[in-house]
Amino acid sequence: MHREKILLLLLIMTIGATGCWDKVEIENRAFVTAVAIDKFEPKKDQEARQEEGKAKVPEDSPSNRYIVTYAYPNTGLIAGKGEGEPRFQFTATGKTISDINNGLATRMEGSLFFGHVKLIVLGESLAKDEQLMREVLDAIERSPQIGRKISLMITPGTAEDILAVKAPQEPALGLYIRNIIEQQKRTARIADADLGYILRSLHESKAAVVPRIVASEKEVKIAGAAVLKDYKQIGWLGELETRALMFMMNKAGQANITVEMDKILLPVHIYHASTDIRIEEKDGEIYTIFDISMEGELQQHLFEVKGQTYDDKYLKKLEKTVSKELEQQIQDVYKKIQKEYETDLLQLNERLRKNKPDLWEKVKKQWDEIYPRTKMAVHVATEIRRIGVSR
Amino acid sequence: MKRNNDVILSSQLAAILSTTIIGVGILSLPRDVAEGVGPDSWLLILIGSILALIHGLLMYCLVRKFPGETLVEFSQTLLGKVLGKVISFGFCIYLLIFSAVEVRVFGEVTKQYLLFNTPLEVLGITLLILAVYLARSGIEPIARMSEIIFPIATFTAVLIILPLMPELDMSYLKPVLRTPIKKFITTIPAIFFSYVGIEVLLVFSAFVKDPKKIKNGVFLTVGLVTFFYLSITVITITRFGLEETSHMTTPVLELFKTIDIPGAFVENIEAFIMSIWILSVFMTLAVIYYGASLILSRLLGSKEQNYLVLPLMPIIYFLALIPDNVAQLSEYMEKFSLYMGTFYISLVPIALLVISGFKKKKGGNKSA
Amino acid sequence: MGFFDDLFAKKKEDPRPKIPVEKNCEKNLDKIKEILAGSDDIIYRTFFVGNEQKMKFAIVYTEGLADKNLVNEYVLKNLMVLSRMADMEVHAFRHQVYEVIKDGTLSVSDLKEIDDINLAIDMILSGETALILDEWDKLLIIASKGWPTRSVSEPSTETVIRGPSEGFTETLRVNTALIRRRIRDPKLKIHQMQIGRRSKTDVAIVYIEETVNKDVLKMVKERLDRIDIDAVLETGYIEQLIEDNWRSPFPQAQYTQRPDSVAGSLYEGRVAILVDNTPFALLVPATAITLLQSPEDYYERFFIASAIRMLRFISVAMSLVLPAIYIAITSYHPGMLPTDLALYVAGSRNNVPFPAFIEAFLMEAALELLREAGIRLPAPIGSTIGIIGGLVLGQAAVEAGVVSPLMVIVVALTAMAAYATPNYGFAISFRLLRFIMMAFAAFLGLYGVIWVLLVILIHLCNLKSFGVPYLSPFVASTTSLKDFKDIFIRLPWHFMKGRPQYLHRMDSDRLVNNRNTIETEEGGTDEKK
Repeated sequence: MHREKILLLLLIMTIGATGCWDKVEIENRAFVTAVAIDKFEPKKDQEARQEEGKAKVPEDSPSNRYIVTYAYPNTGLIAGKGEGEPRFQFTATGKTISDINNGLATRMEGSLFFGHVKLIVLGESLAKDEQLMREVLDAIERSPQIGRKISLMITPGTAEDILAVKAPQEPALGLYIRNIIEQQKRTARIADADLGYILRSLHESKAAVVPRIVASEKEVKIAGAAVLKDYKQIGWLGELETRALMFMMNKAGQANITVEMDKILLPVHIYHASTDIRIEEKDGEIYTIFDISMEGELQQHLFEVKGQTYDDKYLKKLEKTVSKELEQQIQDVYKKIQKEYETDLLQLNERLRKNKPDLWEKVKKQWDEIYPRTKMAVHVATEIRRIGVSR
Repeated sequence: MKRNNDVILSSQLAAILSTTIIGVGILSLPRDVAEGVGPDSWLLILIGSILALIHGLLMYCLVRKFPGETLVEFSQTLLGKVLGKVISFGFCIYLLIFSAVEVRVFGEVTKQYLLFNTPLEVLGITLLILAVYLARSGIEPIARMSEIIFPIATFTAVLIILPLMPELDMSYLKPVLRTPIKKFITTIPAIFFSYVGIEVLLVFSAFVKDPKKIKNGVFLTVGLVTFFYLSITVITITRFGLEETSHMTTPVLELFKTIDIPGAFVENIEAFIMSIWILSVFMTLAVIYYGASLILSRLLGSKEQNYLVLPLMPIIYFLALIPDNVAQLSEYMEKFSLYMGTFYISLVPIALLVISGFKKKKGGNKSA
Repeated sequence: MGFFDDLFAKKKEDPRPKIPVEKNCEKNLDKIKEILAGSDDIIYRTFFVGNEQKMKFAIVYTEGLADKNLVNEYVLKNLMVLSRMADMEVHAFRHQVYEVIKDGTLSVSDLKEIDDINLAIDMILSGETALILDEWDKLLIIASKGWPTRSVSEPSTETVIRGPSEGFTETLRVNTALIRRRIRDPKLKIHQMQIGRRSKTDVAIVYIEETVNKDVLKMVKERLDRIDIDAVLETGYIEQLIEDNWRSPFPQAQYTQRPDSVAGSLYEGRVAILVDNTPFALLVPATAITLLQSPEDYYERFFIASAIRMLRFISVAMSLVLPAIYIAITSYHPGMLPTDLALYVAGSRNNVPFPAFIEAFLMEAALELLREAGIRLPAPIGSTIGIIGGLVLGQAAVEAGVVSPLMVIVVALTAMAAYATPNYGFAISFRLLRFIMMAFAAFLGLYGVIWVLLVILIHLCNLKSFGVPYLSPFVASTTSLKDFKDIFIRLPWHFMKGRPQYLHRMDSDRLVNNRNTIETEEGGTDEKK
């Protein structure tokens, strides 16, 4: 019994002596908060890069397919005791993303840590390449460190530029972006689509919207959305189109709808909206019916026009106008995604499967052909509750 | 000196059984059922629980006739010395393989989520050392441990899930009852083997102070485990949807990765959840490990089991290292639970019960 | 109560041969002198009694231990002066003279007759006075214990805000009196024995006959009987000799300086062991929960008491795992922290030259050093050391960049948490385990922490204190759900009708009346019905 204990102790000690395989002190980690992935386009890329004065990417292998850029903050600056650049950035090219990570280890002092990635930006050219896109999506999904709450975005142009943005305060670009995203609660112009949604939607109906991010010198703008179909990008939606889509998806938090009535511009702030989607079969046609009910508040009228707004009839009329406006927008956008893109962004297939299983059994096989032929109807009911403090 | 270490209550038995059942299976359970029967997963789990309950009660009927005896003794009474010993030895082997599976899955999952570069050997050995310590301590400490760990493990898990509630999409449970019966039948093994572990009742019932209440213990066990399985599965499926749930290797851990506790000090709680899960895996391992050593000691005719614990450790360790990769591991697991699991959960108890019925009728009433 | 008679019937064999008292005063005195030779603090006084001054008596006592005043006034004066006034008729009294002296002359309350000189010497050395009478084969032992004692004062440990400020003193008798004052119950038993071959320390086992757990009492008695040690200087000697598992880092007996604590525990059915010469009493069985309870829990209103008790549980957990968690998170799982915090922690550790484990180890070790230094120094300097060490050292270390500010916070929190544990012995064991846990956290991260926690838990599950599982009532073999009324929270008194089941008591009613008739009495409101 005594010998056993000594044996056990020795065993533990040998294990202990050989050591700490995973230990990396926190200050030695590079907390990547933002990742940009671009498609590598050999000739054009190199020339363009030289013109823009960016770091030259060594062209040592003809099989380079990606350009990946990692940004991580200078943590010393955050704790108030370091100095230098607020942010470090590394760019590398390679055949696969994991190759690139491996290669980067030869150039960095810290070890890359992806547990705090908040943003992954994909360049447009990459997003339009189905093969690369599927590789990237799988790499992201397979990684145990990357959570499903982060943002995946697509930028027109190169993703690397996004990371180059000198955001004013925040050294961690990922956090900066995250704070912008949180504005989503206040405007539906930002597509409410995190990585989890995108992956799920792609799995379920091969289509998804991805928020669009655009860079300028000192800031980024997140608005509009890219439409993915069959794992690649096929088009864009503008800001207002995105908003209409968010209304359809029941994801619109707050929005501003401006209508013109009697030559007066009337912005209405919508602070609550909920959407009910039904699918009905009538005379052999499949109808998608959106029932949207919203509540809003009048924001502006015209100076020295008295008493007009403090009138139920007037407000009812305004409500109708607002509803019409939104209905029109929604119909336009729906048409675009249904007829032009032919993508099932609203996941009608899933809805059919859940709510109309019998119908789904019938149409399941040819859903791709049937979907563009389905009809839609939208009813918006607006309630304007308040008009502000003046009559 | 009297060890004073061999009496447990039926409620403690329930705790032991529950911790034994909830182990590595929970991680992949939502995936398997979602893949099989989709929106009707909840029903499948209920069916599975009824099956488990029936088997638990069959075992109860069997052990009730032999109070204070383990499988080793009563199988010899019913089947004769040789066959009984063979069956018991097989059960011991079964428990050893079962332990090895727990160790290996623990190692793989820990490497995947917690310690990426730490060798599997280290993870396996450290867990086994813990299990050895507990298994040597005897039945009463095991009972106490399971009594403490079971509520900690299950309730924390369920509590942590609560912030997820607003993100759940209950429509994934629709359409109700549209799954073809054939699919139900083919998926039943998956859910039934999530209740693997209940068969240790055949061994542990011998220590129960109030054997009549074992029945309540079985009800309690199946009830608690079913509640836990049901809540985890339903939440996973409604959070991820069917497609994704069946696409992931361990959807439950992914589920916990999506939790944002508002204003909490910790952000990604999967490491925390892993620790909780380690507790339950450890308990499963310790119980079946103890069971194996106990059967072996009874077969060898010795009163103490604790000196047999350590020699079994290398066996489990090397068994655990046999599968080459995760896929092979899961394949072995399936085959193992299908053949050996069925044999010891269903066939052996039913056969023994039938034989004991016959023996009684013949008038050879020596067993009762 | 046959059980209790049986329990204490067996007397320990005295290994020394009995030295009979002879009928000669001189011879007896010589024998005593021979045994006690070389001890100059023993006073021998021979004197003559009676009108004719024919009877030679002697008294022997230890100076300093015996009450000189009592000996002079009520023994010597009576015998030497007053007896001469009495008409000591030789013939009438000759054969009864000793009875007359014993029953008529000596005006002291406690007298014993003894026929063994060895025993008499034990008595003399414990402060009694031996009266040797001529031509009688017995010695009279006069209870004259009286030495300068510390008066009853506020206990230095376990101070409470609300509650009595009496603490035990170094005198056993005073201590038993303090307990008796709180339990005026004929069933309160104080069984006294002597332990220590040379020290002959008085040890008292105190229990309430109707509430005590018989098995525990029996075990206590057996284990005390088994002790064969030359000296017992403190309860710690006894604690270590009778505990169930000496390998365990956890105390299996609770010590206290508070008579109200002891009384409360006796009512709960526990056994107290009092030792002479120390102000600490031992309470057994001790479980993890009893070690975390403070008498004040029962004096305060239940909201406050429950909240404070919860705080205490959290603080114990913190004192055990906090530095280990810090190490595990910073060195292994930075993903667990919110991003902003992770970046801040990484930044604050930017130029720290040590890995987190070494950093934490150094700081914790420095803290332990500080604590030890603070205790050893005289009280006024002790607090200064705390301030200097804590403030100056911490500040300087952070400024020098040797440790990160967060580490200092963690260490300070840990220290505070450790101090919040009511039982010092319990807190110390956690302090010890903390270092082990830190090492494992540095080696396996969070899994290491869980690993050590499991080892501790398994150990605790194995551990019993006098047959009672240490983790009672979390483990159900002897308990019922009712016991949880007094664990994490303390329910109001009128909900706690039963005594703790896990101590398997006999008389289970703690509070019988409903709350209208019994107003606000405390712990000891158990009148037998």
